[in-house]
Amino acid sequence: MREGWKPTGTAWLFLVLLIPTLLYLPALRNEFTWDDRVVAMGRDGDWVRPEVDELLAPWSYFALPYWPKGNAGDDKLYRPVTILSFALRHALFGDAPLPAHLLNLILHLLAILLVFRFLRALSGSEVACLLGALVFGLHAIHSEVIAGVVGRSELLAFDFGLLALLAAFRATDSHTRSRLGWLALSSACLFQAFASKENALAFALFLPIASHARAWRQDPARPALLWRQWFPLVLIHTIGFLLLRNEALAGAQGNPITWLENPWADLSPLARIPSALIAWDYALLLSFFPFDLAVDHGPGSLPTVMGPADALFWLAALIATGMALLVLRAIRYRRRAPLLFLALAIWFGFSFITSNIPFAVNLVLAERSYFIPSLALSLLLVWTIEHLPEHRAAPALATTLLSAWIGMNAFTILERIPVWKNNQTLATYEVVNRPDSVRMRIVVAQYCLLDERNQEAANHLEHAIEIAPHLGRLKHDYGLVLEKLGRLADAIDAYEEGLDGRIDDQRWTLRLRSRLARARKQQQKAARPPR
Amino acid sequence: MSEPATTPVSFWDHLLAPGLRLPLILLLCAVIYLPMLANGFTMDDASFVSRHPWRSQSAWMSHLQSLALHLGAVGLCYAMLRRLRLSAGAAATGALVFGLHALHSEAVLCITSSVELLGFILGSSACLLFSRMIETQGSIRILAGLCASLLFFLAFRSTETSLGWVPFLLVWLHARRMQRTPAAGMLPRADVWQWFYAAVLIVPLLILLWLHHLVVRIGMDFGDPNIQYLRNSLYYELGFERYATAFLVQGHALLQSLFPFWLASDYSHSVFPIIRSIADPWFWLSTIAALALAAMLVTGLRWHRRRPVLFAAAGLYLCFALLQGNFLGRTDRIYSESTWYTPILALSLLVGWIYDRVAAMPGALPHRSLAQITLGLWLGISCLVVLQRTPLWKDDATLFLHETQSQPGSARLAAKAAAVHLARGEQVSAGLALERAAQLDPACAGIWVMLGRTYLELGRPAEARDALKRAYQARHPGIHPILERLTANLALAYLRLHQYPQAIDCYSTALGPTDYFRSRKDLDAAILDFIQDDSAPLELRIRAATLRGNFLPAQTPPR
Repeated sequence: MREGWKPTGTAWLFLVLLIPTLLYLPALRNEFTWDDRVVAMGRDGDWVRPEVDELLAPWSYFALPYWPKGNAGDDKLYRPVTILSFALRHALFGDAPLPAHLLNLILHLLAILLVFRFLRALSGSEVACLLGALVFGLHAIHSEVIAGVVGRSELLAFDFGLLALLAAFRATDSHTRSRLGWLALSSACLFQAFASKENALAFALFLPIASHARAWRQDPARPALLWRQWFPLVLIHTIGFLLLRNEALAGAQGNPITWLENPWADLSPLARIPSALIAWDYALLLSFFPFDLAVDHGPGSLPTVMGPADALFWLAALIATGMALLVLRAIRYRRRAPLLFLALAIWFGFSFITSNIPFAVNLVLAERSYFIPSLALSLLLVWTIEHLPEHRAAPALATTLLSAWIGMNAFTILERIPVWKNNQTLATYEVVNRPDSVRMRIVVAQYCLLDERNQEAANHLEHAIEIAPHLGRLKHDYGLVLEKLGRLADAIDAYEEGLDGRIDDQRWTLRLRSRLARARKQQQKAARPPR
Repeated sequence: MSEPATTPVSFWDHLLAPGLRLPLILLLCAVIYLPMLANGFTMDDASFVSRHPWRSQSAWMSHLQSLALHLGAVGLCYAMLRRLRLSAGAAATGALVFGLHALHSEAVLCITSSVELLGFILGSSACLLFSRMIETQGSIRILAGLCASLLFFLAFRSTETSLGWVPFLLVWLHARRMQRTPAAGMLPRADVWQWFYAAVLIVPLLILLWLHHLVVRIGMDFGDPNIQYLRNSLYYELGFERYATAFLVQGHALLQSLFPFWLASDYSHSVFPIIRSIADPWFWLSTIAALALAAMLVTGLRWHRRRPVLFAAAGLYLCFALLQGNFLGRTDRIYSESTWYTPILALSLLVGWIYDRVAAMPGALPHRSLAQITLGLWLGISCLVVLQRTPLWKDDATLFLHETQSQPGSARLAAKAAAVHLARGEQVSAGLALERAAQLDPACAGIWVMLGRTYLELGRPAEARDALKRAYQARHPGIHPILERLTANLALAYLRLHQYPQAIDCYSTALGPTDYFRSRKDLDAAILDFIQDDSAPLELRIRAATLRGNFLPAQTPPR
């Protein structure tokens, strides 16, 4: 090392990018898991997704829904840029998992870089911005997005969204002809963000809010005139995107939300909203302490509030009041503490749509939905560093606490990556991690059946039935296992109970009926005296 | 005349006041370990609780007692660091490291291992009292000496690992002397009191040895005389193999003391391979471990005057680690995380010493930041590991089913997981786990017998017979303790395969006077069927009936 050499900002930034790279490197060995196999692969055995298997003209993707036709997934999703990225990758490298994971990692590194630039545009302290970028890069809640190939939609939406923001900042600062160029870039990126994932639509609101916050950082007394500047841009893009989406999904029926996806979908708002509020609060906690992660936060994992008679209802009311007060306070102090205002805006703004509060979505809580909202933590950190108490022990305490948080996140990432290796590792680990997850019990039971571990499969399904005794689909699987165990009479009972239970998809009714008929026939055959 | 300007006392001044440091550390440790109160009994906890009247019978209260003991140990760690003249900040940091060290999780979470906590509390209190005794005068000295002697005795009686306090006491006293007067001679001035000091330490030792002799002579259960191969394979090894492997284990323990982030509840011989020659690649790791320990010893001795804290740290680690390292005598385990509870105090001493060094560096901001970052990273990961380990110790099922995934090389854990599956009626899964266990440790007779029994329950008698025959060839734990179980199952397998002569031969061996287990019940039923089976050879049926008739009157099933 040269004498007197001191690491520059670029060297520190390199380090900030290097640490997440090293931590996520094991993800390159992972396979395609979970939804990846249906959405991101061109071919998987007999399964073919033509639009990924064969590269079409780029504009053709804007006429396609996100989920392939004939699949049980939500057919109202529209993410053309994400599918185009899968198709491009497939055209270049085929269905090899490594390039797919590598691309996700590169997009995450780009996201860290953009977070640094974004924070620099808002704060004068380079150290604070570097730490903010590091916190974003090592936030363990991002592990699902980076380890799962379908997390691409989040990554693309975030990267394009932040690029749009940064270009908009440059456009605000420019007074020459380049202003138009920056505006064009911002508008193109904004549209790409929308077309990558629907929740990027919140950037339409966040862009003017961030511009205001930036202006208030420079001059708290500045009047709120920027709305007028940004309003046409975001309005045109939002309307344009919604029209395109409407056109592409014209034939979609809208698959019903199943109980396994979201048990609150059928509940009255008096039950759904308090349940969602508790889940939202849990997500807020996860955004700060992302150390207890899981793939499934569906039935069994989070409590369902049954109405005002439930004690949890009042807890939810308390949470709602607390959150409302927090938002009101942030709005009140928006000029004095714009970073705090921005942090709250990004967390609440980007997570509200998928929170089940305005309407029911097809999931209870997904960690991947908190990729963009977790930027709030970086903003909060920058604000905290700027407002560190004068006490002499405060920097030491802050350094130790931040290091502890980073250490915990790094360790969590290292643990989560091998869990995402393939569907089997995922299900086997998660059933221990979340023993009350009905979904995971079903998946693990299927793997047990493949290995002829029938009794273990039965035990998993019995556990799931304890949590969801009304679910017809569960009784179908349980009956099948009982048949394999030679308990034909119990299997028939299970099929009958299944037909009386809740069935979200009529295909399960058909399967149950066919199994029941076959089992009865077998029972009659066994009861017939030998000739 | 104007009044001098005073700095206002802020909230942070109150929060970070020296007097509040230890309570805050204790609070943090309590919060991190609080989820353990939801745990039940695991492993041998239930029988341990019933044998020790001072432990509460309820799991919740028992865990609370363990937590209280751990918090007491953290407080004593702080006191010991302060007694070695480390600053309040250094002692607090050392105590924090001790309280949140993830290697302690087994000792705190497993009720059976709480004897280690008790041993630490009693031993460290005795050490503190002993040094107090030397530094005071008059009747207080005698009283302190008697109390220290009693505490030493109780510590030795709590757990055998507490014997490490005997050599450590000498290290501790020397370190204290060197700190007070670095130029003092190696030995203290001889006076009549030295005899009293020696008696305080030696009398409890002698009483313990006498009691040990008495207990062994009258045949009472004192420890576990039958060391199981699965627990400590080194017990059966001699010479090169034992020492080379023991150093390898020591290296692992040293690494885990510094980075306690990958933990497991079992370290049997399938995890630590026995080193049989210098051509074994593990031998070189063992050599590195031996060199590291030697370096620790040499450095500690070299710095006994200039850096007595480091001398005490090295002395403490070596006294306790070598005592239970299968070097001096054979212990009942090859390695256990819980018995490393006390040696971790050495890390606290080291951290405290580094803290004071870094604080004394003039204008050493980069060093200070680096130390803070390192400490923060270490504490964060260690806390997370504790939080992750706590729910695993909920019950046998959560523990063993998880541990087989995190420690796939352990035959013992695979066998324990199989037992969990068998209790749940999951014979296929149990069979798979036992097949893995048998593959990992083909020399363990117990695993083959379990596998044979599981095959029988799965209706695969030919495979059961083959597995049970393998048990005869196994080396450990010796066929004798499981012979009746083995022959009963083998007889059953032969009967199901219609190999009647072999079945009756085995049946005659299986007829023990005391055992009444499931295989025997199944065998009795099968033999009865065989006797009543007209198609079977008459001679064999008569022989079986005679054996059964001879045996049945003596048989009394348990109530």
